[in-house]
Amino acid sequence: MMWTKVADAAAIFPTKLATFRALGLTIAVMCYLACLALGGLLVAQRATNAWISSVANEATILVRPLEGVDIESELTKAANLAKATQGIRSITILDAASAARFLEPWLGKGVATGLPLPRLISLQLDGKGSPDFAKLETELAASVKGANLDTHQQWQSEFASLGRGLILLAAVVLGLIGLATSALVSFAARSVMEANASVVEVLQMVGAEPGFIARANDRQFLVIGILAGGLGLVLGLVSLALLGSLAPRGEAAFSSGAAFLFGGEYFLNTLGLMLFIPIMATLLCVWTARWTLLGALAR
Amino acid sequence: MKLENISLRYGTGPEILSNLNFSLAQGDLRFLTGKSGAGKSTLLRLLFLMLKPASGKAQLFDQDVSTLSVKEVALFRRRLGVVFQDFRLLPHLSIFDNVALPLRAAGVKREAYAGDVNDLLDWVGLKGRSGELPPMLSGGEMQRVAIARAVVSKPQLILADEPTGNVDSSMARRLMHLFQELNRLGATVLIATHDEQLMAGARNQILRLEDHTLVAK
Repeated sequence: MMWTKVADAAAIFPTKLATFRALGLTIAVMCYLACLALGGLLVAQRATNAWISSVANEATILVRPLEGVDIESELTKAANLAKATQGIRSITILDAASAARFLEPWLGKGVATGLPLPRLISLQLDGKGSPDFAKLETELAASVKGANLDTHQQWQSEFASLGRGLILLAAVVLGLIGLATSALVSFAARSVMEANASVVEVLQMVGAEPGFIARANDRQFLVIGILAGGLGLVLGLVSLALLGSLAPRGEAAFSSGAAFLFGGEYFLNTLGLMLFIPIMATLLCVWTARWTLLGALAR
Repeated sequence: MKLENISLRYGTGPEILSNLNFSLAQGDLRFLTGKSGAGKSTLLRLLFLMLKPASGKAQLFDQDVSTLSVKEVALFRRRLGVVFQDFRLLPHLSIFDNVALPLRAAGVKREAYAGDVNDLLDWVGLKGRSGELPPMLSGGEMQRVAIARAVVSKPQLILADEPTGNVDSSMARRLMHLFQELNRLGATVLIATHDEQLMAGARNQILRLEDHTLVAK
């Protein structure tokens, strides 16, 4: 029904107005920025989830070197206690060389070798409920000298907090972009009406209701929304892909960010969510224009 | 149509129309005349619900128009037909689409009005030119398109503001003939003009605007 009315009312207003070109450009830019913001939001959310999931599935036992204590023997005792704990799938005792490698970024290569360093036992959880860490902690304290259990709870909490912050920030940016777009479309709709004041007067003269006059502009705002939104989407996706491909492989946040956006399992989901941007921009464009015109015509 | 003690001013300016009283019965054909700037166009705009009076009571089709909503005003205007001196055609629409505009605005489908519009174009002597754009027409032709647009929805009241102002005398007679024909078909017609020749040929009552108010001639 609505489309019949749009088609019937189409072309009553001249379509070649500078306002439409300027509006199209603005919406394209807004959609481009929205793509970047949504890309950032998705990376933040997915990376946080991945980190939390990774951290949550692991725990660590740290055994400090103590004078007069055989650290290898203490490591074996700690590993045996961990193995006997339900919910722990596997354990890995990191050797002294691995412990030294952890300090290389701060101390330099080879400097830490030979120092009395704490040793780590990595515990991989089976993911079927949380192991009884309290019991393990008590057993470690009773029978392993210098042992500490780290369940990564603090890391999880900090990651979750950081992730929530980034998601909120990206959502605020998206909201502001939507708000700015609405304001621009509203301004453009008024400008179109002023530029076509004579057409509006003739339409009012022949008995056109405000709804008919507002709908007569729908097609133009619809086309602008689709074309400009689509352009912004394509440019945004290309930019995000380029940022990923230009970043150094393996280390930079951008390359792992690109994987969180365009990696196999995320690709379709990302595209689906990104498609909402031109759709929302188009709806925002058409509805804002319609309500602005209706408001102006009602006075 | 009935106006009682109508006064009108723009903003805080002086009164353009003052204590104005008159009525039109169904089937009347009247001329509204007066000096340039006397308020003829203002009165027509008031009758066409484009302006609101500062005081007084205006009735159209036995209804007080001062309380009409925006939507009701639009519906009311569908019972009116208006013709302006400057035609007010949409230059980017074809003659056919200009004439059909009131029907499109009323939600009538193209297939339902196409025959009527073509018949009207035939009646005003523009058969076969429905696809042309207004800038391709002469003044008289554009005015005939404007008249066709004014009557396409079969209005009960036709208001014409200096309809012969931009055409030569032979075209003016032809346009007047169209108005008389519409009047014979039952429409009430009010023509604002200062063309004495146009009024001389008519025996109908002439309304004259003098000193911001109406006097019957």
